[in-house]
Amino acid sequence: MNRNAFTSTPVAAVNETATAVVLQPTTTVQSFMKTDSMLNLRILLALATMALAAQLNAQLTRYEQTLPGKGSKCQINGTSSIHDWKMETPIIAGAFEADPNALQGAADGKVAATASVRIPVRTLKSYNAKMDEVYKQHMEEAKFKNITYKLKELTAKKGELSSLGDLTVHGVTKPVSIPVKIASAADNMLKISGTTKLKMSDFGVTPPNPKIAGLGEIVTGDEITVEFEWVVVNKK
Amino acid sequence: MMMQHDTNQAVTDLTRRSFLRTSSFATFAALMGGIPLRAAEGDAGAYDETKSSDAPPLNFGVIGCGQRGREILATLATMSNGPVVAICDVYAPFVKRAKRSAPKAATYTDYQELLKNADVKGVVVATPTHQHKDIVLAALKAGKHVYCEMPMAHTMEDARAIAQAVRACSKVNFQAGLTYRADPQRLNVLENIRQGAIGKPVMARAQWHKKTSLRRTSASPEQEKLMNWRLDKATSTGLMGEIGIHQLDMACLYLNAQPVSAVGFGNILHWSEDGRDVPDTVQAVIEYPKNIRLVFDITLANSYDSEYEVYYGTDSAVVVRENQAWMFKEVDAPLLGWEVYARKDAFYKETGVVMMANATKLVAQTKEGGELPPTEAPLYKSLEAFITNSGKYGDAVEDFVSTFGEDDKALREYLVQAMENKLHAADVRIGFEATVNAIKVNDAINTGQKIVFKPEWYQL
Repeated sequence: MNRNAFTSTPVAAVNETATAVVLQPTTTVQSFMKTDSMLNLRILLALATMALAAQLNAQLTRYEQTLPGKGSKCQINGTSSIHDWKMETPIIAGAFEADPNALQGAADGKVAATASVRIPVRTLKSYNAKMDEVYKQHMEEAKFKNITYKLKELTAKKGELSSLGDLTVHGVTKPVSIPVKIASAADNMLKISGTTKLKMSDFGVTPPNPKIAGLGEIVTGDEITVEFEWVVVNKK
Repeated sequence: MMMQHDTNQAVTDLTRRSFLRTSSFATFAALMGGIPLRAAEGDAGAYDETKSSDAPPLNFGVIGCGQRGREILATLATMSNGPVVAICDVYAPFVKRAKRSAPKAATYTDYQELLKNADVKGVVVATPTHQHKDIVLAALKAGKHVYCEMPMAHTMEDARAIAQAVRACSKVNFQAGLTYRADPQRLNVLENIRQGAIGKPVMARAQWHKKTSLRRTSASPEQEKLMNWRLDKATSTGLMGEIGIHQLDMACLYLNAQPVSAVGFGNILHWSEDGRDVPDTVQAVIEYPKNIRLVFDITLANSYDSEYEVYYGTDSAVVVRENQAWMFKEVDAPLLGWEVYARKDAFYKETGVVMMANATKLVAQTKEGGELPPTEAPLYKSLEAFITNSGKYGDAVEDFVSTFGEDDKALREYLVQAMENKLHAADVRIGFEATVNAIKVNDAINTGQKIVFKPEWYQL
């Protein structure tokens, strides 16, 4: 039996029990409906999946970066032999795509989303000029101007969201898993927040040991805590 | 008739400074029982070490290579992060002289051409005062950071035009050349005064004395006329503007007020034969709120005691010479606390225990009654601030614009945060106000009329 619905060559029935089908280029709907039901089902399923996929993508809303005054903040907390320190920046560039309805009380499983983030390295400031200079040197800022992140997977479990993505610092890319909270905010905005612990050395950054006049040598701790609040807006 | 001879013409300001250091002013202060006010490294507030750093280099273009321009070039030559890539002067011999300090610099006689040089990131405007405005406005348009020598302009209108142009432009850093505003020692004095070191201020005195003609010479009469813009009332803000502006600005800073009124006198008493009409000897009484007056005299006919200010208060008098200061306490003044540990230069041969402001450091560095350790010149600190602040400013603008595009209001808001820890320096408002004050005091001197200062002069 010829199951190829698109052949134009007439084929004689081979098997009396099966329904022979001869499809000519001018196949009508009627004759299509008369074709093998399994084939029908498969075609329909394929079409339906394509339609569903198209529908899903169409439902992802795009949220983009907001100006520094809107509340975005990335803060890095660290330690040293002298005292704890922190650096922060209000500039978190990039875009986030998701269906806002799917984010609230999501069922367990994967949540469709994309995210691409960029933080210019030199915008992170401790407001101590010497420390900022040392930081830029150790991050080799002249060569690696940005910290970037790409979301690979957003998963919901018992109402909590968890992200898995690639973080690139100092030219080194590492997968990171960060629980995140995503809350709606006024004016079509979302606030995405989370925190994670990282090691400088994992990204090839040597913890600085600068000598400061009057204080001696400062040994910086390798482990840092990153806290971020990313405010993004849907520019309808 | 014998030409009046200016023996001091050849003595540059740098030589004069070293003359002062070896002079016996320190001994004089010691004779009067002065306590040096000296910001020590690590002192919070005044010289904040956390603010200074080896900032990345800023490529300089210096426009105006007269004496001041060459002094700036000589200072930049000592700074590893102040490379001079371009120099400009309409007068070729000045360019040639300037090249000694900046051998690798491209040379120009037209500042518009220098501004087209993409290598130049920051410009110094050190031309005659009346030429500042056009050059500063062009430099801002060309996207260069600007360091403008003082006075900013020779008229209120030009000063206002510069200030408004700077405020309209958010993309570059502007610094006025009031060097004392960037000087850690001067800032330390400010902090002491604000914390009550002199008690209630009652009056102030300032002087700037140097026997010098200020005349520049040239083979060509036209060139000589151009070079002596300082001696011509049409283009000069007089001794108060060209010289006194720095100390006048400091008085306003320490007394924490703008002048209320000014009266003054000025005459040519010595340099009367070269056709100048700018007085060579002036006195001014500048009144501040609460009846506090500054008496300020400047002469080009005598060098005695050079340059200093005294701020008199009910608890002490503070004498400031350039960037060194001493406190002379009244016997009934309350103990501030810190002066117990400060170094004192004693009056009698048997000096008391020398106690230092920064006990460990200064004791180690100086012997009893000896010279205080040298500090970097105010001009150095001022240029250092310009290099550091301009670098930070340019980076912040670039980061913002490359991320968010052009949004002037939001950019300005971001810059407030990004420049939070900038080095102390005179911004355009401070430069503008100091220029207004100097112009008006000079007017009082020239007219012999009392001038009452109006708040609207400072409006932009």
